[in-house]
Amino acid sequence: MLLARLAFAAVLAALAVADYLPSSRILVVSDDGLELSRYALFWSSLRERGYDIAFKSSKDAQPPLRDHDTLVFDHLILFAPSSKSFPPELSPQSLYSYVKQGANLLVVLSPDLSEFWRDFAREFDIDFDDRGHLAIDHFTYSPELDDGSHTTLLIPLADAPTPFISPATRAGPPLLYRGTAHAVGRLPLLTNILHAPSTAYSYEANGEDAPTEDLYLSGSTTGLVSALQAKNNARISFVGSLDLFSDAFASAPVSTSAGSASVRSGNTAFIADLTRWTFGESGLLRVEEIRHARTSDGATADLYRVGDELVYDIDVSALQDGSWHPYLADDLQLEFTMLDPHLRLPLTTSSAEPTSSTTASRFSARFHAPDRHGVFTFKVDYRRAGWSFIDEKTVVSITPPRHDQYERFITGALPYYGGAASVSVATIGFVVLWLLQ
Amino acid sequence: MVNYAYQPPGYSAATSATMSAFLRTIILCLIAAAAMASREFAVVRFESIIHEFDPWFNFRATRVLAKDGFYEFWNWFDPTAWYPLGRVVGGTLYPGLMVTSGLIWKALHTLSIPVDIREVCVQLAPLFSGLTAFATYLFAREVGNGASKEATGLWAALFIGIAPGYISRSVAGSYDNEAIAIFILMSTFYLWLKAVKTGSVAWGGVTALFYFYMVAAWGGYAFITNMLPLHVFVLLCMGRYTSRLYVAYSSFYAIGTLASMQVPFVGFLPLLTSEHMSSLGVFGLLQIVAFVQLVRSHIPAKQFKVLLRAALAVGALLAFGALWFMTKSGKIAPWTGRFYSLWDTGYARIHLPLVSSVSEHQPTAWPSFYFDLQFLVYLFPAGVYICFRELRDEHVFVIIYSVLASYFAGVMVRLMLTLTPVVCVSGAVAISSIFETYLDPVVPEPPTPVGAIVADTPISDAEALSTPSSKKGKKAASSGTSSPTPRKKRSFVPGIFGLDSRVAPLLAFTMMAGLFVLHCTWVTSTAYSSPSVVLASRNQDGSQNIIDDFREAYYWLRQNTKEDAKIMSWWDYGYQIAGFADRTTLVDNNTWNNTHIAMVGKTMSVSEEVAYPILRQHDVDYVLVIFGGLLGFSGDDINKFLWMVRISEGIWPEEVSEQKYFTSRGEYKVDGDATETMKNSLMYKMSYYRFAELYGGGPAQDRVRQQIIPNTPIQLDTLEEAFTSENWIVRIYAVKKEDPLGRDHKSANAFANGKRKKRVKTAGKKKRSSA
Repeated sequence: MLLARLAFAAVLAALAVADYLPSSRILVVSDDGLELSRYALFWSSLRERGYDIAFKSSKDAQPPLRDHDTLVFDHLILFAPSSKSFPPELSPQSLYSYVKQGANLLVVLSPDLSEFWRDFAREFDIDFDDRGHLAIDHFTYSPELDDGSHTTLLIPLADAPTPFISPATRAGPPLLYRGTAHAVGRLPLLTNILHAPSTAYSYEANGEDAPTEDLYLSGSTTGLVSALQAKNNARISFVGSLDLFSDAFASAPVSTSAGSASVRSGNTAFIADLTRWTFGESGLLRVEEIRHARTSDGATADLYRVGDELVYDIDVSALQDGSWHPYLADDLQLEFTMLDPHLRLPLTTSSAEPTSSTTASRFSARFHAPDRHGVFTFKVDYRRAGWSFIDEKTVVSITPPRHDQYERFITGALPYYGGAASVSVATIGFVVLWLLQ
Repeated sequence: MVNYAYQPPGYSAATSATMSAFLRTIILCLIAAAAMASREFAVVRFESIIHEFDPWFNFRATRVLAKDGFYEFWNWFDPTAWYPLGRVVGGTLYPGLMVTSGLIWKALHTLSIPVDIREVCVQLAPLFSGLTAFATYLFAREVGNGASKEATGLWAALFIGIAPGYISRSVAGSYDNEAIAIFILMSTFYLWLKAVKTGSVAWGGVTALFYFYMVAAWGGYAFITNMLPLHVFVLLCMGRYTSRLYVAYSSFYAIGTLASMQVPFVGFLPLLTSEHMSSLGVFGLLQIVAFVQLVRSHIPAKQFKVLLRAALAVGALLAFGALWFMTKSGKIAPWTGRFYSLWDTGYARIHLPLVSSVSEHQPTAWPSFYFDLQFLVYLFPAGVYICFRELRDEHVFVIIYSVLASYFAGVMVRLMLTLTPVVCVSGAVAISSIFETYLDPVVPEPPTPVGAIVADTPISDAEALSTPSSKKGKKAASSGTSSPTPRKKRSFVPGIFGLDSRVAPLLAFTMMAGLFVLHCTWVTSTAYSSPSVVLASRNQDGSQNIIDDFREAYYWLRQNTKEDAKIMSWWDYGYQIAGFADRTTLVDNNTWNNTHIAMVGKTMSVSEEVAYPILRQHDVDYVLVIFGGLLGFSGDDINKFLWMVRISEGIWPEEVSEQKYFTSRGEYKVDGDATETMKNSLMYKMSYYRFAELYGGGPAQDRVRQQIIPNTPIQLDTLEEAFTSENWIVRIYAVKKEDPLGRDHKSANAFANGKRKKRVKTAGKKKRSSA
């Protein structure tokens, strides 16, 4: 309890200096027989970044993953590709419920993945190839590490998407990969981070028969690493290779551009970027503040009149390299909706350059409320792959003018004013004449 | 020397006048007290609570008025109604009711009587029914004949005080516009008769002010708008033009129309819609007639006739042509649908399902006339007949009123309310003339002609002779005085002889009046005093069992949902949800937007997959349905379901079709024979979700429709049950959020239930693995 309080205080303190402290408890669930020491570099790199790592075998029912309704971890690393059955709290439904609660998942599989995982991945629109199939490429394998089956692929990272993979990693050495492949579905939430080169295909590595033309996966549709961001911003990454995380691959030398001095493989950098993204250390957008007001007097209200000029500001910052910076983009849109968007406007950053002290960029739109009363919503729905989603709704009412806000005198009504006045005068005149008679 | 059947009390004229004035006052006060007391059944039986549906809105609006003041109320925009359209409440209601109770509340607080606004609202209807009795007394007194004027007034006051036709809409807690409207209606009519009789601008002006109050209070003001011009028109046709009529109507119309336009909801309607054209037309006609009278007084009669005929023909043609042109060109709005349905009862069913779905817009069943009016039903024509006999201007008014109101009451149940006052007045005319005739102690002189001198009897002899006599009287005459003088015509004198022939009819009618009181009390206590928010049933041992499911569910919503949660339900419950639960609703009893209601109807009628996007688009958090199948509460949503289907079919005929909800034999079924469309509809699923489980495998009987519900479990994918009240009357479902992984709810549910997704592989792969 005290510890939790301290942690909370620490979080507050961290927020106060506008620094980002990721939630830091990682639980690793591994196959029973898996030698965790093969991935020592991976664990130590995570520990260096401040994570607490706990290990648990896929067979163990203890310790529980839930304490009452809260999870005892923030991120889950699944190193259990070949386990066929799991305790109830690691069932696909439970794993999904953790995602629903906001936990991030890193699912690492291998060619001998069980049907359990194949079913699970299918819920995320990812379809892994049959057991025993590997990604094979006879052109881009690593000559140093390959055993002759051409399954240890050497994959360049140049076209890995931002913000999943940082530019430095992309410019760095290629990645060593040995594992299974998957087909990537059309789910918009899903992004393929790494795919095999166009000469690759997925097949049994030691199969005698030559691959026929009806391969399930071939060429660049062969997905290797894919990531999905759920609508609640929980992140799930699927990696088809356990070896990718191994110390052996991380420290293996790869030769770039045939024959030049060999360097260490890009695995370490890639893993760092992938875990950063998956565990919410990069690719985060944060809405700092939303403001709407009437431009005439600058007042914020729940009710605006029909035709009022309104201004809407939204401050967005992005997490880069561990700290919050202004988010720069020109594709944010504001919708002013009632059932349907009545207005859809681009949100533009203000002309003033953000100074170094500001951590957010201000996007704003200025418009006249439509000539229709009702309950309207300021809606910013911004979804870009790799970035956490912005889905902000602010409800205001647009009302007709009050009884005393209409024009008092209308020039068009002058004939009627004249008529009323002349009748009044005539009546008075008539009465006077009548009385004088 | 006058013969008396019995000795009248020998008071002097002055004493008798004082006594009758005193008695009148006492009787009127007692009638008002009885009228108020008989409306308190609901409060005594249940509690001080607002009833039904519309009163809940009126109550809510009154609270706003009391809390935020008049101008906030006037400009009130309610974002929680008709989400997301919102409702400009200030401009779409008749504020008379709220302002009235607001003023009473304010006055009481100024007098340091800290009454809750709810108590004022609950007691407003009884209070005004007391006033109605007084207004009806005044009105009927104008109509009554000669010496029985006051008696007619008192009888009418008594009748209106306890007639069930009026009580049905004015019991304590029935805080609706009608509660004060009948008082204003009768006052306006009284003042109008007064204005026509006196021809005074002052009375006309006061009539117009009361008309303004009526316009501010009830949409039924159109009845006055058409009644008064019709009266004037008929008088003109009867050749009864007088300058008094001219002054009365002109001052009423000018002031009344200008005043009525001050109500925002009415605005320019008096100049634009057909409903108001008759009053304008009669106003114009009256000016022409007045002008013609002026001309006539200046030129000889013969030329005048020619002139008149020509002018009339041209004038009528011009007026009609102008009206036709204005309507065609859109300057004047054609009659609204609700108005058409008054003339053609089939019109609404075909063109306006929304209007005809309202139970109080249904045609009246014949028994309900007797139920609501009892013996007034047969006194009514007698009274109208008596009006014909004298046919003063005010009698013409009563005749027109009774003809119109009878027709309208036959068309629409709720218009029984406007019929009741005229029935009471006519009945009072009839019964007072009966009582006057038989109470009159004067026995007519036998045929032997002796010029008798009239003594100072309370009723002058001349009047006694002019009063109608009955055939019984004739019989009595022949038997009473044994003077069978065989003189041809002069041989018989109409009149009542003897005491027995007086006592018998008096006893009969007194007994009938007594039965009327019993009937009214019984009807009021059994039929019209239920708040409908709280239901009562009798246990087997006779004790009362309160069924409070509605409030249970509404309070659940109030306590357990977000403050800005949007609740979708059929429009009947909109006002109650807003009033009890204080949550946002999509549609309510102010049925101003047919499309929005049809959208809700469509959501209820279609399958889950179609309904879910609509629910999301409207940000619906909860769906509320009323289900009476367990308890046998027949006013539930499944019984209203066909109206939802019909109304939505009117807008989306290609998506919703009424036929598909009937079995092939044309039956409306919910059991195993129900059609697939019916079983897949959201309404059916929500109503019967887990219903069969209650019966533990036994036959699950729906007690409203007497059908057995199949016990195959109903699968709800996009909704989850959030609350079901004790007797299952109210069921609330929460709308699920979108699946975080972007799957549809059906497959998400399948996953949650442990189903495995089938692998979708290319054909080539299969070929190879099988080879």
